[in-house]
Amino acid sequence: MNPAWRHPSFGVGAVLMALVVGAALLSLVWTPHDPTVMRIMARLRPPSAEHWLGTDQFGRDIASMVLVGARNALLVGLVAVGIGLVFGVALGMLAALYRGRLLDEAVMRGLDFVFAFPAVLTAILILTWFGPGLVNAVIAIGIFNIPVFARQARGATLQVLAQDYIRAARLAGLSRMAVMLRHILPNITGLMIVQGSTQFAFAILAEASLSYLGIGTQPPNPSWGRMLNDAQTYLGTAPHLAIVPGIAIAITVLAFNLLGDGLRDLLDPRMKER
Amino acid sequence: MLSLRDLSVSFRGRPVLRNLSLDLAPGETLGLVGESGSGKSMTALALMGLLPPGFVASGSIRLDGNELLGLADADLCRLRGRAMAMIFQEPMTALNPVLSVGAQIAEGLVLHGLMAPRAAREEAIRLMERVGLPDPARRARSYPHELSGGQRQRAMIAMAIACRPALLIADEPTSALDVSLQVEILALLREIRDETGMAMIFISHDLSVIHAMADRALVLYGGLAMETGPTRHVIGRPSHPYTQGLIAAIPRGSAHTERLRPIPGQVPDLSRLPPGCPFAGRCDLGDARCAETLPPLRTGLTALHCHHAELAPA
Amino acid sequence: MVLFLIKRLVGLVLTLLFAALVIFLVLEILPGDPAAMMMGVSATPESVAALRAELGLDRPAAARFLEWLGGFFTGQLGLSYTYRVPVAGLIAERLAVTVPLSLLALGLAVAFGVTLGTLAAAHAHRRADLIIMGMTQLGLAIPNFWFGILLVLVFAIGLGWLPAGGFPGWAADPMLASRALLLPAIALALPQAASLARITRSTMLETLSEDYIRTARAKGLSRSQTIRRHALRNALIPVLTILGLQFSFLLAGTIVVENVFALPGLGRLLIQAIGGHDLILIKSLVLFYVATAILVNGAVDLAYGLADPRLRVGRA
Ligand SMILES: Nc1ncnc2c1ncn2[C@@H]1O[C@H](COP(=O)(O)OP(=O)(O)OP(=O)(O)O)[C@@H](O)[C@H]1O
Ligand SMILES: [Mg+2]
Repeated sequence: MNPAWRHPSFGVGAVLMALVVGAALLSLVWTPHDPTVMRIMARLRPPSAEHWLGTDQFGRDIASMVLVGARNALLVGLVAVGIGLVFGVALGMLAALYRGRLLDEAVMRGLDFVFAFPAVLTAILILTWFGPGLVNAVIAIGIFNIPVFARQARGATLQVLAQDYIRAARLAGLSRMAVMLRHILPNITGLMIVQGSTQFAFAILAEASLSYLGIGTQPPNPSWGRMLNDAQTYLGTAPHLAIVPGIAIAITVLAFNLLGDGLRDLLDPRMKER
Repeated sequence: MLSLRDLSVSFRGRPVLRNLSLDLAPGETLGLVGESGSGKSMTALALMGLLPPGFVASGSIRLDGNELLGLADADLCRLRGRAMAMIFQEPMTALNPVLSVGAQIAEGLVLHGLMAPRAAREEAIRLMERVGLPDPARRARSYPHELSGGQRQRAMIAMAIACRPALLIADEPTSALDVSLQVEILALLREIRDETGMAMIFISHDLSVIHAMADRALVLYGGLAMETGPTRHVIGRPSHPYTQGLIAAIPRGSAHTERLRPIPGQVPDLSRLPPGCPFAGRCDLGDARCAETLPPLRTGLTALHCHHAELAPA
Repeated sequence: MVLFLIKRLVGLVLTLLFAALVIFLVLEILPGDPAAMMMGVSATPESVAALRAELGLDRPAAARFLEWLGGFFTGQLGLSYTYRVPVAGLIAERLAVTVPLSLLALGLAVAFGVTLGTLAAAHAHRRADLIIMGMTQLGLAIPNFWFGILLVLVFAIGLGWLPAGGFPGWAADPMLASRALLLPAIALALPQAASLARITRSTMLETLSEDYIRTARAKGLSRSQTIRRHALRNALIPVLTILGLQFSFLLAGTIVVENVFALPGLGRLLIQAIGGHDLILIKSLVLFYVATAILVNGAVDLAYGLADPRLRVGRA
């Protein structure tokens, strides 16, 4: 067996992630019911053989909504991390390349500045301007991810740049761009994946919060955070609505956090030697 | 007062110290000498019951007749700092950066119930004066980073002698200092020892320092006591080939400053130590028996572990 | 050193100004016509024009910006469009909920986080450590608003010990008011406590391997005495720097948690203002949040200098 699986965080994280990804994929081809169909006659039903997790205030099947919610959550994570990665890594590497010069200073100051805004607030600001919705929420979260990746990428790039073989490559006539793509990028990929995993978890939490507040994913799109918002209204009469979406969020976030922690340990060169 | 019998220390099954036996009388100073990595610090830490995690000690350590090995930590805490104290190698990092020097010196006095906090603070200032720190009343309020290396080591000494321990272990107290400071600190330690009559284990890799400080010397190599006896014999008329090599290697004239780099070959990696004499691979007299069986203790003018050495007559 | 302080302060003020500028640009310039945006599609041209006049939108943007900034010192931040009352008064009123809530949550988070992190480090790699670290992973994964809902389910609906939400006000019954803040504070503190515990554990482990810890043990201090008297302060100095960032998250958390518990705080006000397109209220609220986050981070920087004598000013 691959030693990676024996790392407890990585192992548990991988299993949980498989669960979530499995649910998301399953929801593409099959759900117990159509999650968007409302049945006014079957509102707020407790779990039963027909509706495993009961129904919501419109009579929609909770189990189906939770499954489809996994798709939504993973999509949010992917796009938000993607935005952060692309812009963050580019900016970070650029800053490292022009280290100590005006460009570096400007980029890093600018990112510090974005960082000074509490994340949810940045998102709220953006959503006020563009209007609520899933796409805007994801962009907002992605923007907060940029400084996180940029700082990491800059630090890692500087470390790689200090190595002798980079200087050798430069002397051999390789252009800056080529050095970046051929030598630096592969070297910092591991670190970025670790950070990406953590930010993935963060993005899912943030989207859930925004959707819970009513400014993220809008109906009829399914979202765990949105479901919890609805659930709260019926907390006294139908508490079962509030349980499963929360567990789904927690499991997904836990999966990516654990995966990130595990990868960090596994990629750590000190661990590698063993 | 202190008596070790077959003290061994191992780390994950590897021996770090093997079958060390020694006795120490009140007022006596034992010099522990050996190259880097020979196990000097581990011996000291084993005595204090402060071996890092993963290290296991066996054998017997008796202090005033009481067995220390296997004692609960709470009982050892009553002895540490009170019955036996230790000065560490690194004055730069051995003091807590966020507590004032005076508070760190006074702490032990209060902890062992010898004084009330206020009296302890005054005693700390007296101790600082005793160890030669200028302007002690003000210095007591300073933080370690405001002191020079030599001053910090003086503060360490004040801390160690605060509770008037019967045994002081000094682990290379001067190795990190430059030569003129070294001489001053050694003189100070001698004075305090003669004043208080405490026993001392003085650790150094520098034979000339051992010569200046110790009544008896013990030469450690690869975790094994090579030779032990009165300092003047160990240094003046060594019988063990390793000790002889050490002394021959001292560059004339600058014995103070030179680190020991005496004998051809490398200090063996403790993880690949032969079961027999650790010096076997580098020794002129070494043969197959040396590498395989641990040499017995033989006694002449000095006591030594060696199959071959000719003993000087007692 | 003084120069350093001045530089820091200037940097702080510049950051604040820049933040204000960005908020102003995003909320008042970029929408084109804020008045039309606020009134929505059903507005008549006359009513939009009236609002535009009321807001003084015909005046140059620079003047409006400066006036708005000045308002933070004079308290003249304009009338809320939805509430028709002065914005400054609204903010002041809502602070009476948000400030105690944040402080209570911060206190809980620090108390639990530091204690658990220290315990975990003291039992590193043993069962207690594994359990605590597992708990912190859960704490980081559970969304605080969901935790709030669970708390309401158990302690309000189930056991009936504490109110499910709402806030009676300090004047009416201070006891009741503080009880109303307890569950929200716990919900808010959960992720903070979890991450503080993890950070404390790692800085504590690093500290425990320092030489001066061995010195303290050689003096006769027990393990726990050593941790309390020698390690804790050193381990907490790096934690302190993180606390500023943690506070940003906490502040953002209040926005969500106040909505879970229907607390009349700044966060609920913000969401209501967004719902009502009340740009006047939104821009001042957002700047207020951002300024608090920036100022707290600045203050933490200075506190860092006080906690570590190596960085302390004016000692010989
Ligand atoms: N933390 C540790 N983990 C594993 N092995 C260690 C550790 N510390 C020391 N050792 C091993 O224990 C042996 C004895 O080390 P010790 O510190 O006692 O040497 P020393 O004689 O004090 O040397 P020095 O003059 O450098 O202080 C060394 O060979 C070293 O390899
Ligand atoms: Mg040593």
